[in-house]
Amino acid sequence: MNTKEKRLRTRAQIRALKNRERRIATAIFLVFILLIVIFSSYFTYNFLNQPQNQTTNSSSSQLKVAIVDHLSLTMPNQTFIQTATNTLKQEGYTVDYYPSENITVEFYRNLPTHGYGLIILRVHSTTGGYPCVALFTSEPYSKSKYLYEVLTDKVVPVAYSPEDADRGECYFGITQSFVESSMKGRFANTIVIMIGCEGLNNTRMARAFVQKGAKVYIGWSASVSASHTDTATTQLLQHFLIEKLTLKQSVQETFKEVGFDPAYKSLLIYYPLEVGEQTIENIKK
Amino acid sequence: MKKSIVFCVAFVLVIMTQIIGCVYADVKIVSIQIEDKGMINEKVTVTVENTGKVTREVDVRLYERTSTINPWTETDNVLGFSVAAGQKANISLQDTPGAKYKKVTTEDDAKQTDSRVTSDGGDHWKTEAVGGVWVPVDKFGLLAPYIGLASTILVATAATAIYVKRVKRRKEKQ
Repeated sequence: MNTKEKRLRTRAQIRALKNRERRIATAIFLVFILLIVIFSSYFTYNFLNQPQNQTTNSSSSQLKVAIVDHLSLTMPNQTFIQTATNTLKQEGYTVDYYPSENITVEFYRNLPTHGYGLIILRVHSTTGGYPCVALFTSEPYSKSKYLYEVLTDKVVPVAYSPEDADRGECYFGITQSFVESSMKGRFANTIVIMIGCEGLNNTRMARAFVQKGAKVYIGWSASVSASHTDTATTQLLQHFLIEKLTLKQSVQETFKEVGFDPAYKSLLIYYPLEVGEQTIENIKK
Repeated sequence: MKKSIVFCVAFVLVIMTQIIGCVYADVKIVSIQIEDKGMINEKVTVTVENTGKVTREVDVRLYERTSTINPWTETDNVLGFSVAAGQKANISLQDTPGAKYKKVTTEDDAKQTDSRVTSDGGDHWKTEAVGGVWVPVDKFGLLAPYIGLASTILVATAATAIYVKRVKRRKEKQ
């Protein structure tokens, strides 16, 4: 009897042990599956969430203007915004104003899809010593966001100053690679006036915009102060949109009036040069 | 004889130029820091270095620029201070309501962004450019958590495989 009981107990123990091992194996397997799911979901989101090409509705696009005022928080100039808006409205343009808080990576991504005929990028920008330009967003930099685009230098962390960078006050900035391959849709013969620093320090950003469908890209050859760029842009809009001068003449007249930036000796230029002989009327057609 | 006189005069001139150059070397601005970019409580600190051989009196004038250039301070915008030979010195101005140095109020005051500092060594511009800096990215650091996660998954897979094999082997033995 004792031997039988012992045998039964041993069997029960073995069964219990087996069940325990099975449960552990199942738990490990489930954790493993869960990890794979989390891992793949994250990478699917980050890596495979690539923009799809959209066709831009370009009907009446030449009448739409965007003022992207990223400087509205750090260097506000309501007089400039008001003057520029009035000048544009006077010529029958509809103006969409985007203040700093709206300027995110996603905003830039979708910018071509709105079908603007003229975009004024009043944004902080920098080359940072690299042979390309980064346009600032107001979106704080995060290590976990836009991972794929950060790794491929389409999106980069930028800061207003080295001190801000040391304090970790960084934002996302977009590069020409972002314009080339992450922006959705195409620009519709858009005139891009990029009035931040070093916009045309090199032609990479300009080329990216032109390849993306922009007609011309106007920018500064080096750093520029806020007041100078605002004054120059006001004059440029006056000559180009109201007086209907050619782009080349408009830029030349603007230079005669405002000169080089007094601090950084930068100059307003445009890309590509062959558009210089065109007026706003020619470009609209 | 003529040659030696010319040589001596030239030599004396060179020496004198060197001495004058040393004594009256320019007082140069080392840095201009603008703290607090708000409309009030803006503080400007100017650090200058006297590279000459005698103590120099330095006048610093602060300006703000809109479409025109305006003095930064309401009344006395010239700040005099001494800098000993070979020394650095700094002077700060704070723009607070009611303080001696008050920002000039103009129609465009809310949009002031640039400041110009003038010393007797010439004009030096310190402007707020619409630029910034590019922050380098540690790409490996960005990937590290994912590499860690991948490693964990690999280790978990290996552990599970080994465990399953052991369980099977044990079953076979029984």
